[in-house]
Amino acid sequence: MAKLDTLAKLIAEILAAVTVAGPSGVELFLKLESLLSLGPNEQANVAAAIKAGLAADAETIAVVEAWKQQVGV
Amino acid sequence: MRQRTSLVVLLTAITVGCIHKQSGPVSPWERVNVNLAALAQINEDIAKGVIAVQQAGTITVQQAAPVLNYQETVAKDHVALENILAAGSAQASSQSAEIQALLNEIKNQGTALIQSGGLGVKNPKSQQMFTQDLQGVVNLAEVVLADYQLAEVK
Repeated sequence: MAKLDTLAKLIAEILAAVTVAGPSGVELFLKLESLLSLGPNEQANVAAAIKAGLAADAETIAVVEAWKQQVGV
Repeated sequence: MRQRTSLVVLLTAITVGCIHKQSGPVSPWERVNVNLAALAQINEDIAKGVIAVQQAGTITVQQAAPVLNYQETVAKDHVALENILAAGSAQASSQSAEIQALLNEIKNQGTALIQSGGLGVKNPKSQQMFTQDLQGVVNLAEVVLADYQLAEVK
């Protein structure tokens, strides 16, 4: 019974966090969670981190440049 | 934006503490690369958030522009860093000064933007949100710099 209570509290906390963060917040959380969970191979972990970082950079530069064009700055 | 800001601060804290590996300890080199990738992902999320807030009419183009210019600088510096790090730890150690200079640029420009008087945002709550977002990026740059210096020693 105590375990069920703990589980119910945990689910309530997760739902509350999801409500506060919104869909994009959840997406960021999942991306970071995936990034922070490393496999056993150091080289593969480093390669995956670099790939994820570069993908984020490309997206940042693309959205900022698109915004600049849109607003004319 | 407020929700996103709280999330960014929270995720920055999680990122710093919570790298976990299936087997064996997390190496300093893994820590540098993973925290650096997290910085890029959080930077992307902040940029999208600032654009959304501007498009919703909460802030003006003039207020959003310096923040977004900074996000773009962070992304470009990060690409330069990744290009060095992708060559491996031995190659990176020969470019230690450049790595530290790029991380310091991210840190110092963010700090300067925060200290520039609230980025032209009059509303104290909005001003605080921007400051927290930028501080999150600055803090992560400091963490990566410390990680890198530790990795260099080992």
